[in-house]
Amino acid sequence: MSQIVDAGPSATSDDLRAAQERDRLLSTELPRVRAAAAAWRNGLAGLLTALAGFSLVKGQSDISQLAVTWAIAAGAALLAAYLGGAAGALLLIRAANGRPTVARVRNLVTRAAADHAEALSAASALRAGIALTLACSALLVTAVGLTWYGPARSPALQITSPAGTHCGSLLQLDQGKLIIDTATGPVMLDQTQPAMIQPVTTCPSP
Amino acid sequence: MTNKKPGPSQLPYQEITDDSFAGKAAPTFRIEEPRPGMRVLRGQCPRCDAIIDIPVMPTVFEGNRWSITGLFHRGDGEPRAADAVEHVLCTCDMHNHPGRPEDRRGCGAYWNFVIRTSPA
Repeated sequence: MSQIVDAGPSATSDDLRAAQERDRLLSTELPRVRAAAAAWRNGLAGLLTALAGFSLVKGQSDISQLAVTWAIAAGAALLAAYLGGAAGALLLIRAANGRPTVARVRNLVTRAAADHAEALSAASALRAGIALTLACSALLVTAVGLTWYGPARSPALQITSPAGTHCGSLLQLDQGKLIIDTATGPVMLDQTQPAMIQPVTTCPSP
Repeated sequence: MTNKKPGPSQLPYQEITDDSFAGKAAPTFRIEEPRPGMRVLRGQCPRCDAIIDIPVMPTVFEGNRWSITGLFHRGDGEPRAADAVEHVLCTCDMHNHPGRPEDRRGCGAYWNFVIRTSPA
């Protein structure tokens, strides 16, 4: 299949206006994308600065009191927020400023086509950058919410008895039996035996 | 005293068309595809004889239109109809045609082409 150029129907003033509008849109396309990207970059940078820099949302300073699962979730959300924010920022900067490239002279294409291709790439980077930066903000708020509203970690007990030293959270205390959840599984201790019970923030690694 | 035809650079800017423009220009134009999906018509303006490039693109960046779904839409556009009419105007930047407004390009000539697809 090949394409050929042939004479078309008589042109009208409407056709002239359409051609002029297309020419205007294409010849100003790249500067318009760049300007839009710069505006989005500045706006989103302001949003992130307000969220993180000025502590509009602030998490608990110590998340070691948080239940382990929730602390991991908060950490994962924070990590994802940072990664998403960094990628989004890079994409927004790329959309606003372009990418330094070196091309083979023999592969150079007409300026109109090269500018159009760059404008499309910049617009794609802009859309992805906006989405990632907004996702970063949402993840940041989520992480902060988790640190505030996640359940507190159950207090741990370190029990030293003739049977040995065990550390874990209290599962059950009933009829002289004490069951604690240790890193190696539940352990039942006889409360009638002499033992030293000490509350600790975290259990030492086994 | 002789009446010399004005050279291309002396041709005043005039938004003008003529049925002969398309017929005269069509044989000089060829279609280039520098990137997939991008076509550039390159040929000679029938009025000022300048070699001009006419980009024929399926999409163009329009501007900021706010929508969440728009963030995930690439906007590749509809496939072009067969034998589509292309409105063409001279975009010559070789000559400074007298009387040309600042926001215009070329000598003012315009015409229509049809891009025909034929089995090679």
